[in-house]
Amino acid sequence: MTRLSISGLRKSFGVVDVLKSVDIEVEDNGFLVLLGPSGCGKSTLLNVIAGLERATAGSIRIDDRDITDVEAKDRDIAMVFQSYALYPSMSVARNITFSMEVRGVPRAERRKAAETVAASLQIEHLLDRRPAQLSGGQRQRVAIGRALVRSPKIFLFDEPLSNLDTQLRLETRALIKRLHQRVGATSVYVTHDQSEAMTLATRIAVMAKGEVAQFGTPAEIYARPASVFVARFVGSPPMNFLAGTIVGEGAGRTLQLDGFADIAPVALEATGLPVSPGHAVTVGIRPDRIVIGEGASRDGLRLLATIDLVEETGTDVLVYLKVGGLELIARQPPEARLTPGTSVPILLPVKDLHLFDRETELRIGF
Amino acid sequence: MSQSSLRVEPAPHPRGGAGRFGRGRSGLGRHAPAWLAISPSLLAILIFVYGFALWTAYVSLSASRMVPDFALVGLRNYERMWGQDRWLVAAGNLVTFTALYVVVTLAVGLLIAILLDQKVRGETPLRTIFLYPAAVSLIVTGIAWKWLLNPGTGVEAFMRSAGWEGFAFDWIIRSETVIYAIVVAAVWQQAGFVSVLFLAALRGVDGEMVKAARLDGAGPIRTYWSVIIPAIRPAFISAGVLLVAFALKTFDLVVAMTAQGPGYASALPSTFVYDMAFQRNQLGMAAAGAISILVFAAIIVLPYVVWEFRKSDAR
Repeated sequence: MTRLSISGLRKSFGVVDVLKSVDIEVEDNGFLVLLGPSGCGKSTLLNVIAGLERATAGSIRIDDRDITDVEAKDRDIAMVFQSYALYPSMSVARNITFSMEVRGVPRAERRKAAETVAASLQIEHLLDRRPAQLSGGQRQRVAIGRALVRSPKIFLFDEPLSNLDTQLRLETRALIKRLHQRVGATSVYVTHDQSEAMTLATRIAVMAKGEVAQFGTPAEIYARPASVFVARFVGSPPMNFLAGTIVGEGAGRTLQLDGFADIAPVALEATGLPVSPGHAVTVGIRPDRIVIGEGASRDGLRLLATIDLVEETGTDVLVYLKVGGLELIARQPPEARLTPGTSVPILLPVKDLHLFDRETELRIGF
Repeated sequence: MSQSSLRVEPAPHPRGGAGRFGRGRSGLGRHAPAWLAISPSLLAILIFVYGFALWTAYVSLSASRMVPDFALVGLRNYERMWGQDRWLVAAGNLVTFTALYVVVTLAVGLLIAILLDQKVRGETPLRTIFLYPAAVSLIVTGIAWKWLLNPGTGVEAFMRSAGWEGFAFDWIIRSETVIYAIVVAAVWQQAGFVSVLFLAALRGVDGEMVKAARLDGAGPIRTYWSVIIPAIRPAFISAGVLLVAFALKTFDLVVAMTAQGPGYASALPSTFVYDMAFQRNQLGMAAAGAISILVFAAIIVLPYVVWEFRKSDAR
């Protein structure tokens, strides 16, 4: 049973505020992913949780124990690093059990522990090698083994897959997920890769400029991004954005796309949105929601687009569309027959539209 | 752009493109330009280093006194030399000096480097201050330390005048400790230089590795001992090889500091060789001493060379 709660956490280096009041809660067996671009403070947050950096303000608790001022080694936390951070002069077995060696555990017991952990990671045959003799994927397994052997309360991962090639990244990602299902320890994982975040996390905290921009389950964050930043960061290819204005009031309220005066405005189904007439909004739509062709008689914005480029990825087709001066990306099933240069009608269904305030860039409604 | 300029180049030089891969040429001919380029220095080294080393070996087996005498006398010069207390003291001093000098300089240099690596303010001026002794002539170092260690003028006199009447620091005037006084001066001269080598190596250590050791529960001393110092082992080897070379060459420091005294208690093989060749007209024995230094050097360096060759073979 391990819950991690972080509240009001701040971290400053001199006059630079790297973290500005972070509040996060990870449930027992939870897998929290800190997702954000470089420089957003996610690695600093991980270091503060690990105890490698001291918090400027706020508190960190594991279950009911306040560990804000506890030494790193006494926090019962293990960490896997991007550079693997193996000790080059030691054998793999000694790397894995160095924490036990420091605690004075007898040699025979350490060997046994190393063998058990190595078996679970399929690296038994490497135990007597040096890190320099291993491949990147093997090194990262050793680094994971070093964390596993301690059976800590919390696992921390600092971009552990960034130095691996695509194939190994997928394998190691699956390995981490499988380990988490088996061991079930609470984990915090830092990455800038949204697909890693979506596949691994039970909870994602999207971070921007030292703050949590959105904290929720992967599904929530994908379906209801809290801001333009989150919407752009999560999902590949990223969400399309258009400028729009709210026209009319009450039930007759409609959305008019800016620069498309000849396009019929669409009635907004949802009522009670906190928007007033003339309100400038950013309209977002995910690439897989754009309907190409006449489509069904659904409500939505109907536009005429020119097909600019068609990219076949195998599993689906990415279509780059030009609408007026805008560029939109649509994801279509592979059987779609589309010729670059031709004009097609497209539909942006109203129920798939995301509305953001153009000023604050925050989501409007729910 | 570079591609197009390559294309308009005139026909390749006859020896150019094909030369390296040896199409139509073989052996010496295809490497002729390379041999030509290194031949001046190769010739100089062959004559002035290996040639004279061989000549010295020959002289050591000859009856030479003031001038070379090419009549061979076998190992008589060596026998006479090893029968002299002066040579035995010099050889013993070299072993003591080399061992202490190399170990203490590495230790002090590492300590300074570790302390400088703690994000201290004003690191750059400090680094310069520590490096500076290496730029000072060994003669200057020798004279300065002669005064500092002299009981009548240096540290001992200072402490006594400050009120500590019983203070004694007279290594330099006692024949059984004088070699340690020379080690002190030599360590002062090179420790800063070694610390700069170590500091550069410490800066190259992966910060995440140090964090990992911290999370594994290792304290600062354990982290340095088990993780960081093993990681900078190559710097130890470079510094160690340089220091051994310095130690074997030491001559001016002894001449300036003690003039081999008291008596000949601080003689080194190098000063012994100098004495025999230029003061006592014993060219044969001087050559025997010089060849002995060469053998010392080989004994120290050979294991390292063999080990390096093994390693490159294994790859």
